[in-house]
Amino acid sequence: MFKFMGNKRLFTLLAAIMFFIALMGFTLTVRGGATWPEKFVSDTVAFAQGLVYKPMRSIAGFFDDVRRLKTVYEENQALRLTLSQYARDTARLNDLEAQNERLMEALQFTERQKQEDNYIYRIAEVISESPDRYNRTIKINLGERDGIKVDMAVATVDGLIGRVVRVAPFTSNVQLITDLNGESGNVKGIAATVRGNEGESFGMIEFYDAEQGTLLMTKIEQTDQLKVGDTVVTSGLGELFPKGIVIGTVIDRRVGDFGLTHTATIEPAARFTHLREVFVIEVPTFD
Amino acid sequence: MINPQIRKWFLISVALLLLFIFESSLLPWLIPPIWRTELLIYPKLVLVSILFISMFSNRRIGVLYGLALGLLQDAVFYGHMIGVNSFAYAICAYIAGLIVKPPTILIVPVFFIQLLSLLLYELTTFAIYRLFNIYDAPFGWVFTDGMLPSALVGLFFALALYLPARKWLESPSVERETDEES
Repeated sequence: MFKFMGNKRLFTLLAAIMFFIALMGFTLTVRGGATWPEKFVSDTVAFAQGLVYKPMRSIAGFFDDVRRLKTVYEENQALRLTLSQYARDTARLNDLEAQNERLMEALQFTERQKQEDNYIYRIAEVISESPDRYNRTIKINLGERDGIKVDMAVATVDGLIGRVVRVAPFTSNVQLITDLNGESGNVKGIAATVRGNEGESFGMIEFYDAEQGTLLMTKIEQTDQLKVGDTVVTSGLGELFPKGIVIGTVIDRRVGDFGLTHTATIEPAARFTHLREVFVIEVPTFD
Repeated sequence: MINPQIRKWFLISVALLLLFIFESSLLPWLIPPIWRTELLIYPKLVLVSILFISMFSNRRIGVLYGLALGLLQDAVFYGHMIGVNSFAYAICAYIAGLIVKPPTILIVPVFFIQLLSLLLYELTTFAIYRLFNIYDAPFGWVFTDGMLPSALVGLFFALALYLPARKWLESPSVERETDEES
């Protein structure tokens, strides 16, 4: 029977633990620009990953399409109906937009105020997903060279999925909102409100409940009119995310932990797996 | 002429890099979506291969590969912090190499050690993320819906990789060092 751990081994193990705890601690709070080795490795690996992910995505897409053939007819009917509504809405929207512009002109809005809500949606392809359960990061094929910056919001057509956390020259890492945890030090909550009632409702989305697959919206005032079934969107008040991106639907509202504010449970609108294309939302800046 | 040993390890390194890309880019499309929505199944292909290296060849080499590929994963998918997978891979590779009994390695103990090491990896990463207050889902649920199924799916991959790994890695020469006491 051999001794399980000799002195030398024990020492090495302790040294390794100390080293790694220190490394993790140092890298935990680092935000912003990536260092050059990180950028280099990130972009090189991403190139190879892209070679695999893209064909795979189209193959999976093909099988998805075959499976959906049955529902295509009904979908077509529904879409035709929506299209006629859309045509009507567009006419109305054009009218309102013209009116809005006229009023802005009349009220002497500055150029910055006028352009504030003109978000640029940059489409990006997903290259890979992190194989780590506790660090759900995806890589997209837009980077520093394309004007991507840290903390930009990322969404799919369904809704918000995350934000950019690291930027390399040609790729960037997007942290999904499934990693939101208000208790961790470097979390950034998302200021949220209710669509159709933007001025009145307010809350912070700070937690993701992995077990239920839901988001928790906290700090809602008792008098707030938010109710079950409402669509929650970003409010833009947090100065981190642009406003109006769909987050999810309210499925429950109750009194919060301390009884002063209310907490709502929100079912996310977007799904976080099998991602193909995502939008990085750029807020126009004026220097 | 290139040294056959160097050639062998070069090929193994390339294979591990391919597995890493497979794990992050191909696997998300092969598994059913429910595995990542209601369950949290993340099979560790790279770890399985590193454990084979550690068991069939030499645990020091296994630890080095664990450190390198773990660091690669941490750097490429830098979200919260760097070093978690590097540390966990190296520890698992070391333990797997330590408890395997050369020179006659039977198939059943190999898979038993694989399972133990995969579970050890899951526990280590969970503990680290909990320690740094990044993840706070209840342990019981993560264990039944995430760790255990991931380890079992990992075992299936181990089964598929067993024969090529054994053929490639097990050298006839006495390359493996015996456990010297220190």
